Amino acid sequence: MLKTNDTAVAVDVNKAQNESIEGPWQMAWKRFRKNKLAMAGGIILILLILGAVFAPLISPYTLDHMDYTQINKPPSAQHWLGTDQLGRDYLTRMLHGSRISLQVGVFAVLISVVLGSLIGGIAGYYGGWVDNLCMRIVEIVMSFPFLPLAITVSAVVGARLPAEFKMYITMMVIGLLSWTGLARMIRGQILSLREQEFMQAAKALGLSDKRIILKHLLPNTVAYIIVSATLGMAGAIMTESALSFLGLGVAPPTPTWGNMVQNARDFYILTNRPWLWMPPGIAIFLTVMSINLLGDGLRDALDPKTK
Amino acid sequence: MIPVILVISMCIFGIIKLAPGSPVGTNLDPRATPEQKAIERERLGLDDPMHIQYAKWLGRVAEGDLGKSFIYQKPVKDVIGTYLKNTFILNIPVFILAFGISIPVGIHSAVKRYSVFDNFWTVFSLIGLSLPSFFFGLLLIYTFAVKLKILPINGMIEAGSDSTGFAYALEVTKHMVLPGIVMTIGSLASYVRYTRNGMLEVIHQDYIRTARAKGLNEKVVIYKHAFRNALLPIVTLLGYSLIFLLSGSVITESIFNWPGMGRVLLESVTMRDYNLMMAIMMLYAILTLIGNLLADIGYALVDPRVKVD
Amino acid sequence: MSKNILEVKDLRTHFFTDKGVVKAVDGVSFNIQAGKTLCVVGESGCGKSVTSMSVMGLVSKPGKILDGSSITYMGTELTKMSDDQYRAVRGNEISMIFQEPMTSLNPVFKIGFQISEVLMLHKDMSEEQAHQRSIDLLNMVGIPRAEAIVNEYPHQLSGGMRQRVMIAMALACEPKVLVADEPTTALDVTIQAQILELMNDLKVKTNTAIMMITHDLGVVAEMADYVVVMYAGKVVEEAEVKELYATPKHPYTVGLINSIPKLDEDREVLDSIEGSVPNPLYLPEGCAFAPRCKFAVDKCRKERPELKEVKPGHKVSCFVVQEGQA
Repeated sequence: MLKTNDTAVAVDVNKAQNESIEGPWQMAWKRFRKNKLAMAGGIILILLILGAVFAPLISPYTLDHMDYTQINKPPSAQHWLGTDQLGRDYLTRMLHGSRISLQVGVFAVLISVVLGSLIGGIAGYYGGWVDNLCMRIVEIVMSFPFLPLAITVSAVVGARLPAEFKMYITMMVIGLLSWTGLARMIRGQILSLREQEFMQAAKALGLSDKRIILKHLLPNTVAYIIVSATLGMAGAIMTESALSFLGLGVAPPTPTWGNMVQNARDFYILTNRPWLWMPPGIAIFLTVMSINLLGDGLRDALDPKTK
Repeated sequence: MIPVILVISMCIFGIIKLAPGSPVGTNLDPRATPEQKAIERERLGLDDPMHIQYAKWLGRVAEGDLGKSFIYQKPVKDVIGTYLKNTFILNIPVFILAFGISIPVGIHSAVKRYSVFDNFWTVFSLIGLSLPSFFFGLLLIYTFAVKLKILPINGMIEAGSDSTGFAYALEVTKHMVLPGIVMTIGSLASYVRYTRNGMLEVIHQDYIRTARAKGLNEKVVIYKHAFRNALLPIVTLLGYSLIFLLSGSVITESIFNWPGMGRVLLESVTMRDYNLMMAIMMLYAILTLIGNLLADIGYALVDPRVKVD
Repeated sequence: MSKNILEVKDLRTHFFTDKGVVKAVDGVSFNIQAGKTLCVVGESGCGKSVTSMSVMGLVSKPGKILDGSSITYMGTELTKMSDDQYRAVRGNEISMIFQEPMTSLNPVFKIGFQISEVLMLHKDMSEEQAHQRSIDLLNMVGIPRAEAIVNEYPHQLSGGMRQRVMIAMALACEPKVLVADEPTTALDVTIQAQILELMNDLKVKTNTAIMMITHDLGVVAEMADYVVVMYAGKVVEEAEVKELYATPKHPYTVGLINSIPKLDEDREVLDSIEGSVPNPLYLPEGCAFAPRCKFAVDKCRKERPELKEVKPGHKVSCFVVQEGQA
C-alpha cells in the first residue's frame, strides 16, 4: 500500500464560478418553487385551511341560525349562497363544512401514515417472522376493494354508535383501511436501504444502529411519507365526501361537503335548487385538485427522477 | 391463497356479527311470539359459540347455500346472479374504452413529452382524479337529462318498459351513456398517467439507444422495442382493474340507479340484509384475489425474466 | 498509408439547455483509416461520448450538431443526410457498442432475434438465413453453445457474454467502422482483457476500423494505432500511440501518463493533476486547461490555442509547447 502525502490533496481551482453547495432539502425547495402550479395548489390549500380555521369568525351567520322567512331562497345579497330547507345560510354551512371535511382528511391521513410507517418500518427492519406476519396482514387488508369495505364497516360500526361519533368513525375507517400502500413502500425502502453501500459505509465507520436509523434511513423515507401523506389527504377527503354523500359518513345536521351534495338526491332539489348541491361539489373538487397539485409538485421536487 | 380466503371469510363474518339487530328480527314477522323467536334462534344457531356459528356458516357457503335475502325474499345466489350481470354490462364497455384509449394516449404522451397533446392529457388526468365521481354524475344528469333532455335520467331501462331484442339493447345502451362516461373518465384519469409513466421509464433505457444504433425505424423502436417492455406494468394494471372497476361502480350505480351489484351492496348495507352483505363482500374479496392472480400470471407470461411457480 | 474511411472536421455539438449552452464538443477533428484503431482518450465529461454519438447521428434534443461541422464517411457527408439515409448507415456501415452490457440488450427479446433483426433489416435476409448467420456470429465472438444461446434471453447471460453478443450484433452487417464507447469499463479486468483481445482479432479478420472511446490508458496502450486526447470538448493532442507514450507533449497528456503507476518505479506518492475538470457551462477564457497547468503563462489564460503539428504526425494544442519546445 502506498502512503499518500498530506500535500497531495487536490485543490479546487474553480473559485471563479463560486458554486455553492446545497443540501438536498434546499435543492428540493428550489425545484418546488419553480413549479408554479404546485405553488398555486399550496396557496389555495393554505387559504382553504385558513377559511376552515376561522370559519366561525368569518361566517355571516351562526351555524344553527334558522330564518323561517328565508327558506330555500336562491343566492342573494343577504345570503350569498342562498338558504336551505331550514332557512340556514348556506355560505355558513359551506365554511363550517370545510372544517369537518379537512379535519377528517387530516386525521385519517395521520392515522394511516402512522400505521403505515410503523408496520412498514418494523417489517423492513426486523425481517423474519415479524416481516412475514406484517405482510400477511397487509395482504388481507388489501384483498378487499377499498370502497365496498369502507361502506360496509362504516355502516356496521355507525349503526352501533350514536350519531355524534360518526365523524370519528369515518376518520378511523378511512385511516385504518388506507395504510397498506405506505407500509409496503416503507418496508421496501428500508429493505433496499439496508443493503445499499452507504449503509455498509456507515457501519464500516462504526456508527451505531440508532444513529443509522435516525440520520440515514429515516431521511430517505421522509420524502416518501410527505408525498404519500399529501396525496393521501386528497383521497381521504374524496372518500369522506363519498361516504357522507351515501349517508354512511358524517350525518346532518353537522355539515360536510359530502352530505351537502346529498341534497341532490332529491330530484326537485337537483333540478331547481342548484345552489344547494353545486357549491359543495365544486368545493370538494377545488380542494382535492389543489392538494393533488401540491402533492405532485412535492413528489417532483423531492425525487426528480420520477418525472 | 386458500388460507387468505379463510382469514378473509373470518373477517367478514366477524364484521357482520358486529352489526346490531339480529337475523331473527329480519326473518320473522315482527308480531312473532317469544317462543317463535326462540325457535328461530335455535334454528339459526344464534346461541352457539361464535366459532361454531362460523363453521356452520362456512359449511353452508361451501355447499353453495348463501342464505336468503331479506330484501328480495329470494336466495342470495339468485339475487347476485341477476344483478351481477347488469354490473358487467356496464363495466365491460368501460373497461374496453378505458384501455383502448389510455394505451395509445399514454404511449404518445410519453414519446411527445411536454407537447400540447401531453399537457392536455396531464390536465385531463388531474381534473379526472380530483372531480368526485358522484358530483360528476350529478352534473351530467343535470345537464343532459334534465336541462337538455337528450338522455335518460337513471335506471337501466325505461320504467315499465317491456321491449325485447334490438329495441331492448338500444334502450340499455342509451341508459348506459351517462354512467359509462362517469366511469370511463374516472378510470382514464389514472390509466393514462400510469401508461405514460410506464412508457417513459422504458424510453430512456439503454436498450432503446441500442435499438436506434442498429438503424431501426423510430416506429419499430417505439412500438416494438419500447412498448413490449411497457406492456409489463400495463398487464398488471389489467389484472387489478377487474376489481377496481367493479368496486368503483358502487357510487355510479347508486346515482344512476343502475340495477347492479354496487347498488345491491348499498341496499343490503342500509337495510341490514346480512346474508346479502356477507355474500357480496366475499364475492368482492374473491374477485380481488382473482384479479391479483391474473395480474401475476400475465406478468409472468410477458416478462421472460420471471419464472412461473 | 491506407485511405481515410471516416473524416471528422471541426465537429461542434452544443447542448442548448435552460441553464445555458453546453459546448460538449467544440471543434474536434480526426481521421480514421481502414483496419486501424483510433482511441479517443479523456476524463469523464471531456466530450468523447458525445463525439461518438455525433458520428452515429444519435444526438438528441437539446443537443445539436452545429453547421460547419463535417463528418464524412467514404466520401459521403453524414451531417447532410436525411433520417432515412442515416438509418441505412447505422448498424450497417457504422456500428456502435456501448458501455453497459447489462442494460444494452432488450430484456424481452431473445438473443437470436436481436441479432437477426439487424440482418433482416439491412441485408434483406429471411428469418432462417438470419437465424443461421446469428449462430455463426455468436461462434465468431467466442460464445460457447451458440445454438442454445441463440434462443435464450439476455438475463441468462453474464456481463462479458452480453458484451460479446453486442459485438456480434454490431459486426453482423460487416460495417467498415465500429464505434466502441468504453466497452470494457463495466467489466471485470480478466473479462476486459478477453473482450479487447477479441476485438483485436476481429479487427484483423474483418478489416474493420475501430473508434474506441476510453479513459483507461492501459486500454489505449493495448488497442490503439493512433490516439486523440480530448479535454473540455477539444482535442489537445494527437499522435501515433508509441509516439504519444514515448514523448507526450501537452501538459495534460503528460499528467495523465505520469499518473499511471509503473512496475519498475519505486514511489511513495502517485502523481496527480491538481484541480478538476471545468464545468462545461462555465468554460474559462483562454486555454481550458490553464487553471490546472503547471506551465501556464499569461497568454494561455487569455487566448485559445489551436491544434498545430509540432513534429511530423504529432499535433498539440498548447502555446507553451508550440512556441518553445517543452
